[in-house]
Amino acid sequence: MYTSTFLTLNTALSGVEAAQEGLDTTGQNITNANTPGYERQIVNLVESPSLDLAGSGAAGALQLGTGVNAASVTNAGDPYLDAAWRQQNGASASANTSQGYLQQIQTALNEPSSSGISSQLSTFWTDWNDLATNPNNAAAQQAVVQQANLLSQSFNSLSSELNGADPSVPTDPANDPSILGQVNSQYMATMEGPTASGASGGTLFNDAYNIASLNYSIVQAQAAGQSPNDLIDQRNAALDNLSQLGNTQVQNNSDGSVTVYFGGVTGTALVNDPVGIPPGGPVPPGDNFGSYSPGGGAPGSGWAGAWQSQFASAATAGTSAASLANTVGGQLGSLIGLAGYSASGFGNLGTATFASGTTSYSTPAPATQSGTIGTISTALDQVASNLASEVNNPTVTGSTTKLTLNAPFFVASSGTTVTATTLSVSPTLLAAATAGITPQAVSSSTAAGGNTQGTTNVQVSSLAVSPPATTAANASDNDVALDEAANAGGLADTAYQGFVQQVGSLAQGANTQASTQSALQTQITNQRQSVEGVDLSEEMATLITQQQSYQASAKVMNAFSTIMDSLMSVVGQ
Amino acid sequence: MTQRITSQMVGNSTVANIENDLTQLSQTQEQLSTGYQINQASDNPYGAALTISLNAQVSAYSSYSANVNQGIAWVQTASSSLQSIQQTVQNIRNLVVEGSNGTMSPTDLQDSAQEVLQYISQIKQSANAQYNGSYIFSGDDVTQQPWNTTATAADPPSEDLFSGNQNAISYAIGPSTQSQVNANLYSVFGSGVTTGLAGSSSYGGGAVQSDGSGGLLATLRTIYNDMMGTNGGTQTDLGNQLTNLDTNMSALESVQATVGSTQNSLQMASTRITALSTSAQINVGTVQDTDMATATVKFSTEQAGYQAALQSSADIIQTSLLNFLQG
Repeated sequence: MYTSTFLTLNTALSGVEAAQEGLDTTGQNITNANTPGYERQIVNLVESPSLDLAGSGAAGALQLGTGVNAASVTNAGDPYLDAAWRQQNGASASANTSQGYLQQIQTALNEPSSSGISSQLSTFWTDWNDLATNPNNAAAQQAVVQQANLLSQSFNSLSSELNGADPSVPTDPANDPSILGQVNSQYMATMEGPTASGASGGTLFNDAYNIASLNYSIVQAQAAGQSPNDLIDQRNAALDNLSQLGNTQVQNNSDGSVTVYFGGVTGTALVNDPVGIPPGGPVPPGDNFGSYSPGGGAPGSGWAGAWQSQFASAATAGTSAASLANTVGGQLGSLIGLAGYSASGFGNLGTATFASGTTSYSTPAPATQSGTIGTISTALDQVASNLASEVNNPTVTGSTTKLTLNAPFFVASSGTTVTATTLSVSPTLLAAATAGITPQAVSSSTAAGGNTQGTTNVQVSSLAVSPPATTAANASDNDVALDEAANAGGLADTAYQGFVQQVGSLAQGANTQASTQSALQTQITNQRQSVEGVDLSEEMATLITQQQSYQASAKVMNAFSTIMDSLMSVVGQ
Repeated sequence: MTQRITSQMVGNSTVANIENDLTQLSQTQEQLSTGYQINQASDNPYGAALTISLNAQVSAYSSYSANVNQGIAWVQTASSSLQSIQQTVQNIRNLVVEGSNGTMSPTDLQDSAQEVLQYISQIKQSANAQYNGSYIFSGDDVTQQPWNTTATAADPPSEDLFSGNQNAISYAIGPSTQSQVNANLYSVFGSGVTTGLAGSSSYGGGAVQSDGSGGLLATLRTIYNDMMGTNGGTQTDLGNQLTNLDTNMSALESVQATVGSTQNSLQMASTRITALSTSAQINVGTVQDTDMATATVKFSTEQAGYQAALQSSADIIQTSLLNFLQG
């Protein structure tokens, strides 16, 4: 059997081509070394099928190599590491979100400092004490009322910084600067659907849409026999982004597409479409996140519906907000942990309605499972209510008897319950203080009537105490002021200290959690990088190998050419 | 297979480590610049609550301290006015001793009686002493002048009526500790009551009765009557008034003693409060303040670590095979 004269030339050519492919890939790896989601590519070389000479198939047959073939270029991906990284990414995002908001709460608290509520409380008790030693001093009388007013305003503003100006309308933009308002806004911005067909929506919709479009292109490319590594990288990056929002579970399908389960919702996938969405195309009806798109489905259908149902079933099961936050994971999880939830949905937003391209929350419902912000607010309300009851019913020093002021010193500005939001000084008292208080004796005849221990010492007769003190009442009596001053270090103070400690512990826990998660994140990122990332030194070494391989193959061609030249010159004569 | 180390890994780890170093460094720097080791509640939640509670204590002690100082000033005013009352009563007693030994003519006695009237007015003026705008012997009705200072020959002596009350004024001088700062001068003076005054030479007996009769003022009025010979008073009766006057004076001395012991106990309270306040302040410092020596050393160590991290990172990141492939 004869072989082609040019076999050597072809073999050398395959070497040049393979080296070329290798150089291209190395170039690609080097240039994309810092591209998010990029997985290094590897050229898989195989020997070309050999030619059998002289007695094909028989033992000892002469086989002649025909060169090299760059069979494929594959990604150095590891789906298990990807999954582990995404889980960690969600945990880190969750810890960072909680930390950010708790830090804000702590800043609003401003403790320990000389301007926080604790020092205002101290000043309030000191003012009562000054009044007790100077019962006739108009300035001392005013100081008590003014300081009480300042104190109640501090409670009001701290409460409003936590919950917003009008918690009964949680979607009111006026609530935005408050911490709960920011949490609500972040949730709404994440969950927002597109305003029009094909338009972009909230973060979640955009990520899901991206993944679905890439699914489409990848399925098309694979069906055509290509290996769309770049598209797979892009989809990985989109999945990485999604994992920041909540728990993301990815299932790889044989046609190259992925099915994505998200946010603890089992049974209904976020992205699950046989053909995906053509780039820029509308979300087809019936798609699992189609309920976001205009007219694309009613609430209750698709993933968005399943998401709402998750709240309802968690509420029925009595799952705590922290526990649901764990199930959901990521940023959305931490938002639930902060704002709590009710059967009708997130926090106190109430039922979400997807209509005419926008998501609206029309029926506010109080969070039945309260989140961290709710717990903190409740603790603050307790401090305010302790303060009001202590001042309105001071304990007589040296006994357990409680006096009752004839008209309360602290009242609720709306409703009947004194909370941090409603705590305010009695308007009558405040008006008297503003108008200027003058000492004024209370006649002993009214003392007999039983209500003129006129000794709130601020000379508003309605603020007398009952039961009447046994001693005769007069404007200079300091008994009540003394009893009020003795409230220092009492229920309100200790409750407030407990409150500060609680907020501090929560913030400290969040800080620790965030730094732990960040360390873990670095570790898993490095592990993933180790397998999937580009090592420039390695690429440099490969580059030289490929370069030399290219040069060597070219040298073979050169040698062959010289041989042919000699042959031709002999034959030609 | 050994783990591949890529340049991004080196970059990631370096950034994470440097960020950690910097966080530590900025925390220590905050502690140094504010002087507090607790700047936020999360730095030490229990410590923050403790700081607030200790600060409240310090503020309460400073209130007690102010109360004690004001109480001492009040008591000192009372003490000096009681002294002048005592002096005046002593002067009257001398007049009574002179008048009762029978050597004085009725005219001289009447002169003495006029003198007694002036002394009565003087005593009531002293009893109307004020501290910081408050009448100190008026019970807790401190805006009410306790006694009318006029003293005339008019009888019945309605002008001796007591207008205040006998209530205590207490200042808080410690946690659930109160101290009464005002003295009950009414228990010595009594009120000008006419009952039984006419014709009774030994009216009162020096002790204040439940209706306010029988006090010092009643004794003095009787002395006046005895000297003048009016309202059934006689010169021979004057001698009996010495006993009453002595009883009144010893009551006055006992009020004086009470005031003195109040002053004593307030001064002791002041010393105690100062000590407690100092120790509370030290406690706040221990919990809240930065230990400068430790923090400074920590800061230097962390700074050195941070610089080393920066330096070594700069070296390792720059180097790759590329650096050696020139030519």
